[in-house]
Amino acid sequence: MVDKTAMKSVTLRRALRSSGALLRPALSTIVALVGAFVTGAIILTSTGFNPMQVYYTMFQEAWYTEFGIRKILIETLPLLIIASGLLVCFRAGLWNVGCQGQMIIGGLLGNVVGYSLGTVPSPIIIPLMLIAGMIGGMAWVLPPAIMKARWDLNEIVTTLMLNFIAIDFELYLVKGPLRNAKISTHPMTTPIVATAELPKIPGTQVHIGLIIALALSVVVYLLMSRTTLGYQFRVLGGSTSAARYAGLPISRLIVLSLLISGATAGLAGAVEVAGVMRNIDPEWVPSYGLEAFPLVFLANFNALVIIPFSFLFSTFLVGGDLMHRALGLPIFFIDALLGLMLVFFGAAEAVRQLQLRWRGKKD
Amino acid sequence: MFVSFFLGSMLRSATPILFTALGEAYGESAGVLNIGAEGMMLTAAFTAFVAAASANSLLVGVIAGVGTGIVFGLLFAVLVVTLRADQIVIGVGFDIAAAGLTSLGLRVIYGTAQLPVLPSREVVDIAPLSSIPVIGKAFFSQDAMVYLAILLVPVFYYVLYRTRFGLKLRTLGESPMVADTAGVNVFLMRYIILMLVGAMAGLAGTYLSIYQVGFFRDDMTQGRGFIAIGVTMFARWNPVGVFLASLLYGGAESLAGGVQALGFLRTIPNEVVLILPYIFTIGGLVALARRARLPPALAKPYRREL
Repeated sequence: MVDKTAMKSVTLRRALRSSGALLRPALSTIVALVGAFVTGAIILTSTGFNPMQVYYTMFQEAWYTEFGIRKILIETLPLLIIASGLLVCFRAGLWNVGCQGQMIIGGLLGNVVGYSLGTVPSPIIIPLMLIAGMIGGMAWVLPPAIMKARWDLNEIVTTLMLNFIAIDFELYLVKGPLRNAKISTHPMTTPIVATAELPKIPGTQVHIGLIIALALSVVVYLLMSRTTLGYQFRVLGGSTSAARYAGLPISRLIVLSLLISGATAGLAGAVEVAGVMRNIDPEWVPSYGLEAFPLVFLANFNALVIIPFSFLFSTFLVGGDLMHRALGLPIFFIDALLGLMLVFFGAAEAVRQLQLRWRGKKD
Repeated sequence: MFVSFFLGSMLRSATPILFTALGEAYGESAGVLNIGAEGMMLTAAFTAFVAAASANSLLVGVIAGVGTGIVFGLLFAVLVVTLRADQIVIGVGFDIAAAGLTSLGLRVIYGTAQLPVLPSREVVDIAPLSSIPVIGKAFFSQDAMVYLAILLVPVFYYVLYRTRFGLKLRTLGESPMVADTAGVNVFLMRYIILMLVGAMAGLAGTYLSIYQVGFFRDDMTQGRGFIAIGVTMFARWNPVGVFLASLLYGGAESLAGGVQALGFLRTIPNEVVLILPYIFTIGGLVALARRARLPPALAKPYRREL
């Protein structure tokens, strides 16, 4: 005879534990946000600013002004695109910190395609531009990817070095071979032709890049959760030795996941050129690559959750910029917040892991 | 004499990398990858500058900078050794936060006013040797910090490879479990090592801001922390290799500066020379680190499975 009382209590405990399972990962995110903002408040107070006023202005400027909302939508785009790609390589345990450089190269290549194919109609030139962007990004991440796959050379160092190289390379290209000869005052690239510009979503001021970004997130979500490849990436990220034991093609997975993140970074660059900038300034150094880092973590590597988080992060950035203009607080405060979020998240996750082990040991 | 100047500036450029890389060599040999070195260097550079400017003394700056490094090393240790957080996540978080906080701090403290001028660095002239033509001035007429960095090389080498402490340290990186079984307190040692790593990064940042450059600029480390990590890896954690590699880096950076200032070889575009240090790091990794065996326990938190 089965002891029904005992069974009930076991089932109840199990149910509680599994419902908690959904809560607990989100807890790290909440800790990260709260921790960062509280620490930020301490910093603000010690430098003579009123934290409540700062935070309030940040959100108010971002969400309650038309300018703010529009800027947020524009800023979310590249952030979302890059974050979607980073998610893939992070899940595979690979750290691509060179997204800035990949975005620059992708943007440059897209720019070039955008003005060299003058008479080609929109439905052809736009995809070509975007593909060129992806190729640029992939080309830039390929050397570090191969170096990691073949020789296990630390990809943080290699991608970052290429980042710096890209910035200087951009200076050289825009001031030199890619310089627009028609403008003598300021070095800039030749703008893309009108047919290559991304059209706006009918009825709004936002270009269709937003649709591309959202579609990409869904694609990445499906890739990671429903395909074999996504599963393989996750195994690799979980444990290299487990992956090897399972016979997975590790070198290929390393290169592929890094290429995906490079492609998205390059795509973001091309989208920026096609949708917003039209041409490139020699000192264009987008910061989305670094901002996407904490974003992917706080969204717990979930490609769909990344969407609202991208909006949240661009709220911080846009709100931060507007708040800086209104209150005079240097915008670097926002970078500090992002860094703190990452540290708090890491700490919270660590505590959570420790807790899980404790629970495991008790039973 | 251009060569003499170049050699001298090569040593000065190498010094920050050398300091950080020596520390990182110990850290990585003990199984900890401090990706936050860049952030620690930058923060130390900032505090060193502010302290030195306020007290009008470089020594105060050095104390402040090294102290900052130790504090951050300790913080890193708490997060990574005791809480067992992911070393990469925490490290990158440090880097991002440091960039934001230092630039914020710079503006909050000095606003838009001109930065104060620091007392100039004192050059220690080693009298008879510095008169040797060409290399004399470069090698024997530098400030104390450069000499310190060079002197630390044999010290670090000796401790790492010829003392019991060094052996225990290296065991931590190979197999913490073995070290633990042999009675080594893994946690305490890693704490101590991380404070050392932080101190070295602090020295590096301090040197950069108050000796080499003379003031603080946004993001002034420009990737040097990561370059130092790269140097450590392709020197295979050997302090002597680290020294040689740092000199090479110093040469690359010096060349970049020299070309810009002297318009040397005007046919080569500026930017090509600017990227030399980064190409050097990648090249070094490819050339020398390919067959390097990483310490097996690198970047893995240690858990006692009893």
